[in-house]
Amino acid sequence: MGTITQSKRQLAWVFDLNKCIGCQTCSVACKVLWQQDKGTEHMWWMTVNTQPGRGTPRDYETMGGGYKDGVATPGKLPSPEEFGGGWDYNYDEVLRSGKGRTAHLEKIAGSKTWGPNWDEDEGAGEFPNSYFFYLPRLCNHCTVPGCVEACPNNALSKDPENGLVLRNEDVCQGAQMCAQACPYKKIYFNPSLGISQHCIGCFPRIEQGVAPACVRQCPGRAAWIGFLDDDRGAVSKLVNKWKVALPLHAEWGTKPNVFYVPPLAPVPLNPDGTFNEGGERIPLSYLKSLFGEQVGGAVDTLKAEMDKRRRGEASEVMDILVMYKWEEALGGFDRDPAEIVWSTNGAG
Amino acid sequence: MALLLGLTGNWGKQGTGTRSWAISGLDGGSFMRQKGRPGQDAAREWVTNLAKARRMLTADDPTLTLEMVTYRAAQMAAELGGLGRMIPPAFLWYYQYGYKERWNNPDNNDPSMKRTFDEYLNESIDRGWWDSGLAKTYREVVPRVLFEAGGNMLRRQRGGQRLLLDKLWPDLKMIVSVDFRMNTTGMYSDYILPAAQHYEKMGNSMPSVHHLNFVLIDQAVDPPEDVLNDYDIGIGLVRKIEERAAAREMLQFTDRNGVQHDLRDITNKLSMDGFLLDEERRMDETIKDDAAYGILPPDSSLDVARQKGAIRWTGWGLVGHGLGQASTIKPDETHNPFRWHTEDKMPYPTLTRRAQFYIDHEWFLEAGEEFPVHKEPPGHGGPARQFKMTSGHNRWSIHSMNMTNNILLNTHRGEPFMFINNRDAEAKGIENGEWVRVISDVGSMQITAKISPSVRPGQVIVYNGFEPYMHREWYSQADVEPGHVKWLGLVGGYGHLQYRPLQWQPVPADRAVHVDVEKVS
Ligand code: SF4
Ligand code: SF4
Repeated sequence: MGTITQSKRQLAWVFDLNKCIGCQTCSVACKVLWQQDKGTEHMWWMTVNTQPGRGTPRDYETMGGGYKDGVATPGKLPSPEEFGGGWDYNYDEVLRSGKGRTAHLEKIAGSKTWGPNWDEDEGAGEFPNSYFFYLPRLCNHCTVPGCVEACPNNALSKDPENGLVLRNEDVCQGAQMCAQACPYKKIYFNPSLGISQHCIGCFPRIEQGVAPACVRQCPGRAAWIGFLDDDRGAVSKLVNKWKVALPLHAEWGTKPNVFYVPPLAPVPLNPDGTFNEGGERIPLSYLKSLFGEQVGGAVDTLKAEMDKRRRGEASEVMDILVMYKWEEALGGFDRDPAEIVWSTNGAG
Repeated sequence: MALLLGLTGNWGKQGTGTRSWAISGLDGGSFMRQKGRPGQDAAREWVTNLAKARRMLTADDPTLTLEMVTYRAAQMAAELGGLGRMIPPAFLWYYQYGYKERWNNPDNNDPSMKRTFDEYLNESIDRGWWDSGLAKTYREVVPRVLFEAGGNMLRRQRGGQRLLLDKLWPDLKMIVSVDFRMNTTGMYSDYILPAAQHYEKMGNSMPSVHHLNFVLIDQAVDPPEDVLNDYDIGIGLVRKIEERAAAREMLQFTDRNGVQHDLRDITNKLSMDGFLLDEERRMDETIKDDAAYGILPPDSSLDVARQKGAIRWTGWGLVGHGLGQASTIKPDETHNPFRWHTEDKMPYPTLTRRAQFYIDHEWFLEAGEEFPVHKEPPGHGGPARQFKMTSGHNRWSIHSMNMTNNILLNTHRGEPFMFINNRDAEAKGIENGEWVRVISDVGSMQITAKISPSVRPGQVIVYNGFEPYMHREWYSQADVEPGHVKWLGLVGGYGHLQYRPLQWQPVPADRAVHVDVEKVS
């Protein structure tokens, strides 16, 4: 079994669910950068799903893993069908075979019943009081990473300088114990290489002072990265000082390092079309099921800070969340990747 | 909406937020041909002459504002063929594609349409409202060549591909599709000229008044195999025309407007003696001209654009699209349109020279639309049908670009889908993800159902852009839409309601089309 060696510092992400527009730019940026080789067709280290929803892999929240009272909980290995996607299409048949209208573009590989974003924009509730929001997810680079501990080959470790959970692919034997142990189900299997793979936090970029692709590409200005102990950084301020950014499913016990600013929503409508001022469109109980009891406080803080701005008063929280300059998202990892000569041996 | 904003004083001032979108012009590109020779002196001479010409337009009415003169100039340019004689396509559809019957069907129209569509159309032409739009042309001229660049008519044509394939295609001698996508129209073309996509060539993003920036898109990778920059495709064709014309000793060509074109030396004429053939030089010249026209700061160039990525505009230039914003761009302020009118009290370019909502045109009076009013959607599609189909842009690709790209398909259902309310789906026994048939009076398509309580009961939503060949049978949303033109769109000759290319003209309004949804057995 692998052992967790704690790192000196910890990198963390924050996503503002009020600003995420579900555009998938982060997931496509990640996919294009890291998962284009054979064997990675079905992989999406970064995913954005509509909540409430079954997510990816399908119903991952019911699959177990993580820790209860410090003891590892058994977890399920998601099947390829549950991950879904991995689609390829009959482009040749449609465009070049001369069959005309008798052949339309169809999936010829991958899951028939699910995809990484299958239930997009479905959500819950009843019209007109329906609701949904987007939840970007990647490996949480946990402080107590169940995956690291579960690996029989010691292939996983936390980087001592930044806490990213890394995989030595030369050592990994594809045992997939990590994938069972991870409660977030963010580890994929590469059948071509016979190993597991997951988000490495764009480690080679971090080494060069460049923010991960998901953060740097986000057009919604909804994502931040930074060291959790950097008191002046946006991440630390949102997580530690203002406590408006919370981890997903903290009860799973892995101390995740991706944090979320919970979504607010307009009040619901009464049957006569008037505003139900005291009502909740997104039930607080649902938010608590994702972000824990503290979410109520976070929502209250957000509302109070928004009110301050409406009254023309200053608000540090709102200034951070607005993100006047996009470089503020990068936590100091603001080097332009275009100016770096990248090579496969890592020299910059 | 505009009325509400007007009545509540919510336009033409900072902080009011809502405003209309318009694409502006980057005159450097638009006027490249007109200025005649390389260099910014030529650009400045052209703009001085244009300004003089526009002043002449005010001779009969010195009270005309810059905006009004610009619109008048655009209209005259249309009349004189300065804009290549664009024809509002509604007339082509009416005379040649078989829309006449649909537009005359009273079931498809608002009950306040008192006469037949034919009568309105003929009257609008007889009264000369569309003279500059050459409305009558398509009565006589039968199109022989279809040359489209990025158009994909067989997907986009509201009213459906069937009309085009049955009525237009048999007349065509040659169909050419220039595109970076392998699209449905390409599948029905004689020639496909593959064009470079973004990042495979140099370009700039849409000059939108929302961001007020010139945004350079530099070439990142070479285009694959035999793919060319669209400019090079155009020049290649011009070269060939020049060569063939010389071989056939056909030195001149008279177009349908009776204008003669000299076919000798056209490659040089169109490329400023080769100056514009080089992509970098062409872009640099465009940017420098934009600066000469006052749209970008004086020191702008390709180098500067490369360094900064984006250069903020400093002015609107000469074309009406930008000037219609009627506000001065200030360096450190957000932009709100109409401040010339609200703050500087400059008259609006309307009939009354005020913010005008009352249109006392006889047709508007007859229809009870002299003021903006709410009317129920007309019965187009079939008034008794259960659902109303609306559309919108999808999220995952920009318009229809990359619609069939494998990676993007993997970010959603990976096949064309239609949103339907959960209760409606339940009542019809439709499962999430199941293929269904959507039917209107003009056609039907097959598509998968996506069930969401966020859809209003009775509504179905289909994002536009799915390629017909992604659907079973190759029929898509546009094949269910009737492509209806509202008769009031034929009004002209009234103050600000005058034909100007790309602006006021009859256009289809396929909103809330009546459809039925059935399970595919
Ligand atoms: S999210 Fe899963 S894979 Fe990532 S560190 Fe935590 S336990 Fe490991
Ligand atoms: S790129 Fe940003 S806005 Fe878009 S889905 Fe990802 S986190 Fe959300």
